[in-house]
Amino acid sequence: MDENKELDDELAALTDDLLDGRQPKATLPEVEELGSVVRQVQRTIAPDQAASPIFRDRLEMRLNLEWNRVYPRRQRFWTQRQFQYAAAASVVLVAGILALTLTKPGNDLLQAATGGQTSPVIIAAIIVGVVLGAALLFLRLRR
Amino acid sequence: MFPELSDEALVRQAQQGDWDSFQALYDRYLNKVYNRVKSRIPPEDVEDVTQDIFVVVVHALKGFEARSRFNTWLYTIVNRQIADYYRRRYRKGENAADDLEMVEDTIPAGGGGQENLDEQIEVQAAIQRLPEHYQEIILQRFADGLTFEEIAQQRGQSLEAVKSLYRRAIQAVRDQIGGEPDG
Repeated sequence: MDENKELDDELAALTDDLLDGRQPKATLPEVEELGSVVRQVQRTIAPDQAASPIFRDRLEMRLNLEWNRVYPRRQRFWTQRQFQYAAAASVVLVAGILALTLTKPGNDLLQAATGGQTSPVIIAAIIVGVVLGAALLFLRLRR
Repeated sequence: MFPELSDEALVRQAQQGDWDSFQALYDRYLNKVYNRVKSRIPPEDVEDVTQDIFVVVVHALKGFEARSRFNTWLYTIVNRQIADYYRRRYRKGENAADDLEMVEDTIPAGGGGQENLDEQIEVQAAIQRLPEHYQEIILQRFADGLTFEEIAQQRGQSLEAVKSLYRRAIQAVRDQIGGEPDG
């Protein structure tokens, strides 16, 4: 048992030396014999090459695709397309109704809010709102 | 990425759909898997087989229940994919000769002459004929580059037991090369 332990330790040390590029020193004849087998194994399967960066990147892209199939990303409701269509359409609709209501001559609400005058700033803000909402809707529908 | 996290912690996060955790595992194991495949598969197919292995891992990861260590599970997939590769080759009728012919393709030509090439083919065939636990410890030390301490830690064995297993594995390679039965 002790003899085997000595053999085990010496063979392990010889292997470490070889793999670390140091000059191995064996005192037991059997370790010397097994050392030549270790050298042969090292020549055959030592990790002398890593995967190329090109292969690594290509594989990572492929795995990312597979990953998204297995673990589809949960979308927040405001990032979902249907919600965005509805929101954009609502902006256009509300802005349109506001524009029609507030710019109607003799509108009490507008006159109360603006001190009797229809403010060009309010009208411009409504027009900008309509244009932005329409643009958003157009962009979403185009995709 | 995540150098402080264990494989098992990364797996748990990956199982929740965390791509970054999976990527950390991928970075940790790509070269080890690649080297293992390279030592057993013809060079022209090494990348394809490595890719197949990781695709299988992505699909099977949800079902991994951590009854074994992650790398044990991973290397089981590696071994199964390599076996599948040779089964497909045999089915196609390619290279359906003996082990020696099979491994001949895996050794890159050049850099040592025909004698060296013959020796490498012989050693590789000898390793392929070993029982799996002998093959595994040789691959851990040479292909994965693990120290004996790390191997002992991974296998949950004492350092003495690992060194003893390694010595018996090397003796078995010697016996295979010499045509003697392994002990």
